[in-house]
Amino acid sequence: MRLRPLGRTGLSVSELSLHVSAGEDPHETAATIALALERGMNAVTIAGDAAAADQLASALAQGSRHRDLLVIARASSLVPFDLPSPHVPAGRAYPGRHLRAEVESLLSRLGVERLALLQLHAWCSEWLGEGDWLETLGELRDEGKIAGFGVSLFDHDVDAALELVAGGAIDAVQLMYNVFDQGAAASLLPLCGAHRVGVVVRSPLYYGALTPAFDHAAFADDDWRHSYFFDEHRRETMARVGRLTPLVAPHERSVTDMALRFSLSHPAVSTVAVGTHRRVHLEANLRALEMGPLETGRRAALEQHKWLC
Amino acid sequence: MDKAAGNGPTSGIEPVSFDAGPEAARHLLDRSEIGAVELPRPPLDELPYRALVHALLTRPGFKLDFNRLDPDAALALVCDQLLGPGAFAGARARFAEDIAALAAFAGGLVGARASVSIRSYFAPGDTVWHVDRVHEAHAFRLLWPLGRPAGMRVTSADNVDAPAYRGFMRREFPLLCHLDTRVLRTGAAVEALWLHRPAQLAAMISGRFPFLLEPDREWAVAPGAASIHRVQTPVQPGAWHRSSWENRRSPGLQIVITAASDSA
Repeated sequence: MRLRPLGRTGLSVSELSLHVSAGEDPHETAATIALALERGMNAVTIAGDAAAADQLASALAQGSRHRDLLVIARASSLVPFDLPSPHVPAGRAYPGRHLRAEVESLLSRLGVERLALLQLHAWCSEWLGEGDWLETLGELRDEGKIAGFGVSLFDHDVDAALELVAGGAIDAVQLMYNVFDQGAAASLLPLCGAHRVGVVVRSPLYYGALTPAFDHAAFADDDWRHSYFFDEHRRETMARVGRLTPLVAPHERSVTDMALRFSLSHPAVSTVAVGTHRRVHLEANLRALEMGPLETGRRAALEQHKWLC
Repeated sequence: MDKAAGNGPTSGIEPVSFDAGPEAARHLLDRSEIGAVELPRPPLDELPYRALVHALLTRPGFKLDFNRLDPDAALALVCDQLLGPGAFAGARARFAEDIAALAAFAGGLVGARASVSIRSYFAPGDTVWHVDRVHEAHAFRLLWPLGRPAGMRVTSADNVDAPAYRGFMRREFPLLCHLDTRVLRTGAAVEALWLHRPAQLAAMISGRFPFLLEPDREWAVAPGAASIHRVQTPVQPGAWHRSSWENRRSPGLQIVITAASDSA
């Protein structure tokens, strides 16, 4: 497994990281993490809430090789965001005391001394000059409780981080970057590269749409994707995935392999986080990454398939 | 303040007259199922400042928040910059008087000073059904479009599939904001900017979005009339509305007045 720099944290992170979420079978999660570590992966991403932390803690308690595991967490907001939203001051969404409490709770629940990265769950550019989040995260980094900090961007809102990244205030950003949403490649990824800001890519498979199972996936009523992929968007997504098929190379399993390799192809990307809950899928994803970044020609061809940017 | 109506049918949205005062308008707004009322206004060509408005519409699209400026000072800022120092001074004063009167009317809905902005560019994001949202308890928005061919469309809240809308906006809202910004900054054609998103462009043109239960169930504010609609707050529902694609080529000059308060 190849490692890449995680921005200015001084850490090296595996190209593939595992996203752990609440509600999965803890034994399977534990087995998947064990397999990931065995294959050289060294990072997990989680939401910062207690449920996700407990899911990961439970899995870690069943293994013994997690000493050097990098935990990349997203700090939860005290205010839920329902777009379009009126402006929520940073001091209400992410007061410093809340961030400190959440970091200390995560450290305690997970039994680790330091988080690799803490990222605000969502980012509005107006927050750059608001509240005490920046000061607090800097203090937590100085205290050694986090190796670095950054922000996680709303889907398709990459320009919101341009000023923040250029100003050198953060160590890493988290964002959606995939075949359908290549918006970050225009400005933000080059900027991150220039400023040594790490990039954690999420949704490389567009919430599962870039997998063969999406055609017949039946999302449960309590799965947010049930309403996200409401009929029209689902139909359009399936049609667009179908148009990718001719670009899949013979040695690739499906559009999934091509999509994963695409997300890792930009040199500014530090790691790609995939929510893999079954070992068989993790094995397949690892095989795809062993093929390395996508060839220049196919990357250029995939330019024609972006539509969520 | 010109109070004459003269805009023809109200297309199903309850009218309220300026003379009836903000109390009467508030009463109607509080009990309105769709959350909007129509405020008849004279046609642009009957207004004494029509030449000023037409002159502003020949300039590149712009947007200005008045902030603490009174309408006279804000219009002076715009006109001096876009049309030359002192241009249309008399018409500007008349126009400012009317804006001030409407701002006072809107402020009277909640007992607070209203904020005013004007803009003259076509924001494609406005063609998507939405509710305006603020944090204060009570809030209303008065829209007065000058030189637009089509009035605002309104539908009722029960015509929107809420989970589907939430999913739609999670994806589309940042994209729409980005599109609006590019249109304002570059003046580029919406059709060219979203050439790679034909289904989404078609929805903006037709007004038929997948989260609507009955796409044809909508009401239209009469062209040229002003309207007032509820803004969603923690204690009151908002009015679902959108702009019409018919305004694509002639976005007109829009006066946007928002009044919000926690005490009303």
